[in-house]
Amino acid sequence: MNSSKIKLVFKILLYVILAFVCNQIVQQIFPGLDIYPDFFFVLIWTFSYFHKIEWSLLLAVISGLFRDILFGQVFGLSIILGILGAYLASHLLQFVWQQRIRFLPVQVLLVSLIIKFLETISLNIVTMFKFSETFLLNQVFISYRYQIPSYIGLNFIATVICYILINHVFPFEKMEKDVYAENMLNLNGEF
Amino acid sequence: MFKNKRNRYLLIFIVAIIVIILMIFSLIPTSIVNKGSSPISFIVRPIENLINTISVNSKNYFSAIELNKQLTEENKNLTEQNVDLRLQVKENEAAAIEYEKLKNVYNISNKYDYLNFIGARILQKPLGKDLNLYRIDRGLDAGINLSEKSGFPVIDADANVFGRIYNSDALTAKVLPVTSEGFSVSCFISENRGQAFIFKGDVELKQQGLCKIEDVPAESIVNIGDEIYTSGLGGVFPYGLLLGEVVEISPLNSQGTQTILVEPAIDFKTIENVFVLTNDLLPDNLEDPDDESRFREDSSAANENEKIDETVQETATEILSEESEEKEQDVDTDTDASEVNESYGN
Repeated sequence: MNSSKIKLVFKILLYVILAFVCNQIVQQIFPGLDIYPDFFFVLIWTFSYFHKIEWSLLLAVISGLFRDILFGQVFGLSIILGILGAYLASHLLQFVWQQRIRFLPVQVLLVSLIIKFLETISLNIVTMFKFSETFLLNQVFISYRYQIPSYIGLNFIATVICYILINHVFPFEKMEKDVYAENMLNLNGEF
Repeated sequence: MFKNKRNRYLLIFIVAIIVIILMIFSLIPTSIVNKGSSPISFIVRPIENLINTISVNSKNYFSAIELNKQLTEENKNLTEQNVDLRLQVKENEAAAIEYEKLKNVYNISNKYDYLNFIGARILQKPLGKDLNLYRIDRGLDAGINLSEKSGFPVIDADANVFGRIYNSDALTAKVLPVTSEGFSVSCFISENRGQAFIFKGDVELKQQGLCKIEDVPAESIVNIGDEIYTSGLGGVFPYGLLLGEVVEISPLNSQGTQTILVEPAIDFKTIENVFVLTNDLLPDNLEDPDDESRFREDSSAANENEKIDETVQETATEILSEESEEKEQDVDTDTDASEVNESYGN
């Protein structure tokens, strides 16, 4: 691994620590909130929108690890959800949206809906195993429905902050063209 | 980074397998996976402390300006009250010695035999209603070492139940709040002390910040507004800690029982500091060399207490001397006045 790549790894670590700092500041400024913006996941989704999947996965693992240790009930859940979110954001949605900035909120909305649902259902399954509680899908939906509006709203705000951090304050690397997507477009054009 | 897609997928697969194995292990509260978060705690703790200190200092600065006068006045009053309370404490200590003697005679077991109250600050509040664990700034270093035999209740300054310790690492610990579906404790209702019930959190009710007591028989006397206390059964929570207040009583179900909804006494929005009750004088990690420093801390704390005692005694003497001076002055003025009166009379 050459020095430039090591530099990028440190930059990813810096992003995660900045997400953590943002989270702490928000908790200090608004101590009475029921739900806080999920800076760790939003960072993954925003980063994955603009950068290669390899780096996105690395960020997902580190960010997920921090999230698990700081907030998690079960170790590893955030890492897996982070990887899944990074994969969705980087591979599928990046191809669909073509890295156009106006679609970033749409991407955050979609990934928030999917990842939050998976997290709610996973945590309820964990509760079932750990505390011998009965698993009721109805309760999962109630919990999900109750939280999702404020979760998405707060994540939009976090997205703006993460976008500014990643692309303007500490830019990761020069944007590279998505060769795969371009080839596909060219092929479509030819047909 | 990866030469081909196959390598990438292989790596993701390996990472996923490792994470799943760790996940299964982390379901056991005492497993090493839960304690393995210490390195990250070492990284994040200074940042948390810095941000908290800045926040607290700025809040204190602005509030101090406004409250300075008020505090000075209050301080004066409290110092006087403190003298009285110290005297009461001394009386109570004497009574406690008598009680201990009697207790030994009658072999009474005391649920309040907790030796340590560990004060802790909340570092992290939960991100949402699902991830509902609170992180506090005391961990294994303070003797919060979760094992199958030990549990650690967490309360606030007014002895309201906040939750219990979920897991801990070297520097921090996670607290499961009362509203969590994983929380349950034996309790009694203030108007119905003879019966013990199970107070627990609920997936649906936690969204509203409520808890429940199920299977309350129809003949039990329960009213809205009744207070719920820990019963001391189960061995983790001591007797008599306030859990909350009855806010709703459901109609009887087909089995002739009812469910009570309880609003926790703890205010999760404003709470900043909590106390962990530990019943181990010597923690499990005594072999750890850090424990020596713990004892040093204890001895320094004892010295501080002695200093405080001395200061209080000095203050008390000052107050008493001031009072006696005032009285003397009054007596002097009285005598002066009587002398004047006498002279006038003469």
